[in-house]
Amino acid sequence: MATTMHIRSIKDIVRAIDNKAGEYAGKAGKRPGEALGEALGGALGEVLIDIELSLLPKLALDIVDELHGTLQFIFAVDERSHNNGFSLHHIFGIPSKHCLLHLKSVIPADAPEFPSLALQLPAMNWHERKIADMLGLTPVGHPDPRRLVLHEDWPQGVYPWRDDFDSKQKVPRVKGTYEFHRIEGEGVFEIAVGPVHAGIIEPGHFRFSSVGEKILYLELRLFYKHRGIERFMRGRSLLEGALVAERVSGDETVANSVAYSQAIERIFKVAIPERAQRLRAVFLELERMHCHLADIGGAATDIAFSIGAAKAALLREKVMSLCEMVSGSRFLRGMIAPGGLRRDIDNEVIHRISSFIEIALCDVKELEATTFSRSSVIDRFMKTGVLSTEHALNLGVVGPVARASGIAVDTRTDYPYGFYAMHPLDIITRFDGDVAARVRLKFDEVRQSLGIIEAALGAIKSGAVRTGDFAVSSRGQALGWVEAPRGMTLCWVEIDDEAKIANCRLRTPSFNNWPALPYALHGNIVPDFPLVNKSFNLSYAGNDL
Amino acid sequence: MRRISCKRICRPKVTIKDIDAQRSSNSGRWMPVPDGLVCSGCTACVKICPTGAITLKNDRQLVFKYDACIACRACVDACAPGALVMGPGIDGATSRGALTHAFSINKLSPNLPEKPQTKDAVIPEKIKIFARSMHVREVDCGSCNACELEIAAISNPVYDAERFGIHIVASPRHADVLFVTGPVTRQMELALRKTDAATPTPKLIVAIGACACSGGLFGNTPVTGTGVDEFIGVDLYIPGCPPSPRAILRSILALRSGTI
Ligand code: SF4
Ligand code: SF4
Repeated sequence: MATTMHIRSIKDIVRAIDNKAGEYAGKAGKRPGEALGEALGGALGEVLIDIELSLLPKLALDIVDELHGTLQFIFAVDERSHNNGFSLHHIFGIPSKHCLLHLKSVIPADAPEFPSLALQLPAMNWHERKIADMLGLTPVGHPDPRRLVLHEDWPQGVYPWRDDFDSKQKVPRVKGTYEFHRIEGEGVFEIAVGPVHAGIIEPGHFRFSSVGEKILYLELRLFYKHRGIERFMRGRSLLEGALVAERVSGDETVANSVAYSQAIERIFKVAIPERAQRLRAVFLELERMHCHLADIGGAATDIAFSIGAAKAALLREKVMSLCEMVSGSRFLRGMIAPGGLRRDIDNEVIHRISSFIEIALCDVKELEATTFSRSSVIDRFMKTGVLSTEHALNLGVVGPVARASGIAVDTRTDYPYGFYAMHPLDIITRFDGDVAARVRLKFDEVRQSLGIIEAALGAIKSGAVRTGDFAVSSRGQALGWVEAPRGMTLCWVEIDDEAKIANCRLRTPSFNNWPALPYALHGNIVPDFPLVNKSFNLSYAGNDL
Repeated sequence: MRRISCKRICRPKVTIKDIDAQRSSNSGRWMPVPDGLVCSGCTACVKICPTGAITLKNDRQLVFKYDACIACRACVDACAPGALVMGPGIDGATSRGALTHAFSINKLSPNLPEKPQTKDAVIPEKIKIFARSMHVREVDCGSCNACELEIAAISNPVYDAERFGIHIVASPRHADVLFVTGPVTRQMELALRKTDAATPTPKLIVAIGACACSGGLFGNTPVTGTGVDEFIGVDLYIPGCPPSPRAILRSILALRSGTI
């Protein structure tokens, strides 16, 4: 699958992408996105290119500067058993070419290090530190080489992603300390919050340095919920993989399982039936709705605006009940599997979803009017937690947070897949980058989701919802991508000869968006932190994996 | 304006039946149960279950450990004779053992075995004192956040846990009850122990979700435990992945009224 052409400079990369685009365009005579969109449930999508490790820094910077790509994901895999080294993967999104560029290089086993790009491309910061923790590969020149995922009591030299890691034994705890960044000066003090928070919130530690009420600096200490998901995907069957993907992050159940399933479908070159594509889109949008509504309600709760919170909770509950009626699970679990859907839904159920759209549209309108007609709400939302476009771009922020800061990125449009390849969308953006912009954007997106559901169900035909034979396999790897409620989710899967998962790497949007949170908080007051945090809507579970 | 009687606003004795009466489309406790057809003993379900929740005992009994069931439907899909269906699962229990049910494979009974009804249930003193009021602190020890969302949902206007005196508080010092979710990750273990120590006794510990009850899909790895009871004592196990708000409320009310 990898392009064999020898890559020396950015020009070669452009040529490789254009060649591939030409191939697909030639096949169906449509715009490149659409042709493959129908064939494989993805756009031109992933273009895999092998490069030399030494060329990486130059190429990466050129891709960002010349092709306006954004770095989305870096991961590494232990391939010493068959390749004499570790493979290092950089994934760039290049929206103008509807392409996810996948650069693969090899790190020799006897020199376990790679050039860090975190100084030039801050979006790489956490990705590189995670690789250092999990595989023991040193990012040379990284400005902040502290541990990220594994906490201080994890012993040195034990790397869970290496093949020789003993997955049966408990890892002993050692003594260690974590060095927080210290901000010093007259009147500066620290506020430590978490990991267990006041309320029903996932665990994480926040260390504020502030003067009076003003936040000077916020340091995040996460990964309390690290469950080793990527490591323990290994050896699972394809169905189990989908079940695990569903349980990575509860309110991204459908998104993660679709991303995973699309990766598997691309490995096996399976095109799923149209009915399944449409229903997947319906489920993805229902999920986006309940996630956004939870968020809108949460923001209202955080400013003690009870009526808004209650109305949002009621509407969300309606969506959840609908999901339960559709699938038997309030989170739409047990529906998605490689090859389509695990089971079909009745026409009666489809009818009930359609009739829900109108009710929901009224409710959303009323909720928005209730929320934004109060001066107390406007006062707390506007100009709070501003994330500048520049920071958002540099940090590789995705999803509604990016769109509320004026960046037009949306996986559904940039790299269309499934139903979105047949149904082009407008990207909704806002420009203020504050809490108000993010909340308003979510209202718009809920309405957009209702429109998508209507379109997907409008022309739905009966037919099969599952195809493909996933029993016989040969080694293969591919990427799957989805616009989750929080932004782009990427899932890379490699399977072995027995159709079991050999390796899986997952990047949920939260992993990209968390590092941007402190930048939105500079100069804000501590009591606004919960509100800003809620408007970012970050998943700890999806981040910590 | 008509005066609303205070009795209608304040209903001190709301029972589980009231919650059941509220249920919308279905019971929200979906878990696999035998549906009365004859099982061929092929063990397809045993082999496919990702958490090992089903075992075949002595070739004649199918044993379901509902504390480990993640309600994934894999067993139902794999059962060729169609002897398993997703039915109303089971609510919480005070021990993991009580969440285990055995069915003879030759005559799978359509329903779960009836529990002996004790008319005058003896409610332990420890539980009795929380019968009307419970202040709850929630500790997430590595859940996928669906359990969190369902716990948060019990306070929404639909389920309204406050009318049962169930109130979420912001500090373990204020809490009578800890709701714990997740398999307990290595990096949350200390925080769980500290929160437990900071909660004054008498207290109740409630494990919510398959992860917390048994480790579920993520338990028993070098970085996760096998559920909450590996670390601290648990008074109530509520299975499900995630248990619906209704199931959570039903289980707690059942505990308080001594019916489990
Ligand atoms: S986890 Fe539950 S639903 Fe899934 S296969 Fe096992 S017993 Fe069946
Ligand atoms: S029991 Fe299920 S829903 Fe609850 S935390 Fe575990 S995986 Fe998530």
